[in-house]
Amino acid sequence: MIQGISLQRLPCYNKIIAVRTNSLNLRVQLAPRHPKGLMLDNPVMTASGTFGYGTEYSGLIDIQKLGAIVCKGTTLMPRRGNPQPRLVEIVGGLLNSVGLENIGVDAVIRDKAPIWASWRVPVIVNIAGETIAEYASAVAKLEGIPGVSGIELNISCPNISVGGIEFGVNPKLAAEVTSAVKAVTSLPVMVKLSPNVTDIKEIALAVESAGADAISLINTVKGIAIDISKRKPCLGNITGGLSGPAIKPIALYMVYEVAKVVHIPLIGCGGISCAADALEFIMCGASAVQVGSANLTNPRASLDILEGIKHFMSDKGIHNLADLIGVAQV
Amino acid sequence: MKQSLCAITSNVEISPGIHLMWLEAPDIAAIAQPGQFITVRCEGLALRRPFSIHQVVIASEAKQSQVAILFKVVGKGTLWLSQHQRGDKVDILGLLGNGFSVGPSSRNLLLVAGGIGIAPLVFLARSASPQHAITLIYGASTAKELYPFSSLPLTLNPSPSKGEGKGEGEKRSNLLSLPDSVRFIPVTEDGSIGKKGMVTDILPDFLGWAEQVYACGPIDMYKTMANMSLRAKRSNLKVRMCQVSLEVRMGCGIGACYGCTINTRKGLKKVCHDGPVFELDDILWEEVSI
Ligand SMILES: Cc1cc2nc3c(=O)[nH]c(=O)nc-3n(C[C@H](O)[C@H](O)[C@H](O)COP(=O)(O)OP(=O)(O)OC[C@H]3O[C@@H](n4cnc5c(N)ncnc54)[C@H](O)[C@@H]3O)c2cc1C
Ligand SMILES: Cc1cc2nc3c(=O)[nH]c(=O)nc-3n(C[C@H](O)[C@H](O)[C@H](O)COP(=O)(O)O)c2cc1C
Ligand code: FES
Repeated sequence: MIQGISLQRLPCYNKIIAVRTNSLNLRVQLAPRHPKGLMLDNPVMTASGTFGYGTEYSGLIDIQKLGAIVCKGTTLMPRRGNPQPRLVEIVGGLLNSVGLENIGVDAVIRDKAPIWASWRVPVIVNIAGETIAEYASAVAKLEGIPGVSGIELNISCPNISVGGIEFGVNPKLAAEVTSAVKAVTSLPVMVKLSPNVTDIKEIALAVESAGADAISLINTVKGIAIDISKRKPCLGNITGGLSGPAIKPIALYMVYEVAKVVHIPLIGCGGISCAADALEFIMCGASAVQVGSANLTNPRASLDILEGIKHFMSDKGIHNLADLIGVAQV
Repeated sequence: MKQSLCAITSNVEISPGIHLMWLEAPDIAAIAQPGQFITVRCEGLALRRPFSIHQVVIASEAKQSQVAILFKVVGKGTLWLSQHQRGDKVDILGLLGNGFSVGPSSRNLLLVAGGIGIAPLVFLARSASPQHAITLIYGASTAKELYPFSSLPLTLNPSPSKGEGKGEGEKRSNLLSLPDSVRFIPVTEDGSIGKKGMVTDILPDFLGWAEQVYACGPIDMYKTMANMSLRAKRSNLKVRMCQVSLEVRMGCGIGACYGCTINTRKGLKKVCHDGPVFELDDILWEEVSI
């Protein structure tokens, strides 16, 4: 391949034509209202929990080409997660009940961040917690750590100080955890919304006014599966989170709705497994996308999606990705 | 570790519902150790399906080196795979996991296979060096389900005359002979061949002899062995240095998703990355619900 030129086979002419991809502008600013900002070279990110710490994939694909990597959900203290089985395949995706097993923020700082610091691709640390103080302490520890470019708050966690109500289902709790975290970090903060709510717009507006720099949506949808031969739930944890192509229309709808009301960038996530899926999210109003379960099916999925977006743009003569964001809003 | 499209060079149903599939996978063939595995992307499924390396052949033309998997059709993924033929390409991720290890001073190796668990143990039996004495206890429900070992020499790329397809000729030439040094002891639940019962019924007879034990089979077989191992602490018949290959539902296969974590005496372990081979005594069997 000649540099900057990608060769694309057009079915109608069935001959190879050259399309310029080096004139394309795929850069996206994810934190326009943050003093430092968070500029990505392209809009394709990997979703938390499906891409480890990036290191696991670095021998397999050229991770430096990604827009950003979001690492495994990280808590203040290490967590052991849920009993097996943790995964079950369903039509169009999977249910997982990993239960936030992770090495804890100190080990991330000690063992992972130094590796990230030598990478070109920005790494965003996904943070989870069971109390507001836990979120804030974990995020505070990441202040000034080289290799960490931003924070993503997973608010689909039960708040044990208020009887286990999830932060993400209550606008007040969602706003409280967002502002508590914003107060202790100078990094851009994106808040990842749970789809398991009555009105996603209400939560989005609450975190926007609490200072979120961007919103990612969606996390997994609650679900269950039964093993009929054993006559009991398939997952060790009984219930789990649904992800994969099955949830794409739900995620897309939520992006579409939230884009109407907020003024900060949205990062679409949920069932994205090809460039067309990613473009649907962008056209609904997402500035960037996260690829999750598709990494498990095909470790190359995120890079294939990026190439596909470029092909679409050059094919349609679109030079700036920004010209596609939200175009399908009616 | 690499993701590649590998050509199937043959796919034969060697006994009802059990397929032996050879794949052109030179990078994997070059480094595979018994007990390691690959994952296959199956059309329409979100999770790749893991399979142990069953056999390796290094060709003189390195690019033609092959690996075989032996699989049982149990659901959508294995059904999809079983329908693919010579020339079709499948998306393979490998090489994954850590395999069996043989101690430098061990001579007498006992291999214990339950059902399709024979897959990695054939590779182990064939990779052992002449200094090893190997006994393979192999159990299945009935004679028909036993892997039909062949005494014919292994031929790759059998070129069946057109139309012969899955004929007896191709079937036999695809099969493996066990080295003469391997003592083979079949066990069937219905007694249709070999001893009647379960492999674990006759296992104690060999524990005095074995210096290392390698097992692959259903979880209940491991649990029985673990109990034996406990009881043996009181008698003298210990399941010594026993390694087992664990099967859990996998997501990424590369240690990134925490989908396969189990609790062990040595802490949390990822089956795909730290295993799939573990010491029998390290697993907390009472907690295992896979
Ligand atoms: C390390 C390892 C090596 C294996 N080696 C072999 C082998 O050599 N030969 C062989 O026949 N089988 C092997 N298996 C089991 C094989 O992976 C499953 O039989 C296969 O995934 C079933 O897929 P399916 O879609 O046909 O069945 P499904 O309908 O999906 O499931 C049938 C059963 O297969 C198991 N299973 C399903 N998905 C997975 C998954 N992603 N990971 C692990 N288990 C799963 C579950 O126990 C399930 O109950 C191995 C498993 C592991 C973990
Ligand atoms: C195995 C697995 C683990 C996950 N772990 C996390 C996590 O730790 N933190 C988080 O915010 N989201 C986690 N998620 C959710 C994903 O990041 C993503 O939001 C969701 O899977 C929807 O996207 P997808 O359909 O592309 O997978 C996980 C998803 C899966 C499948
Ligand atoms: S399967 Fe993903 S960590 Fe083992």
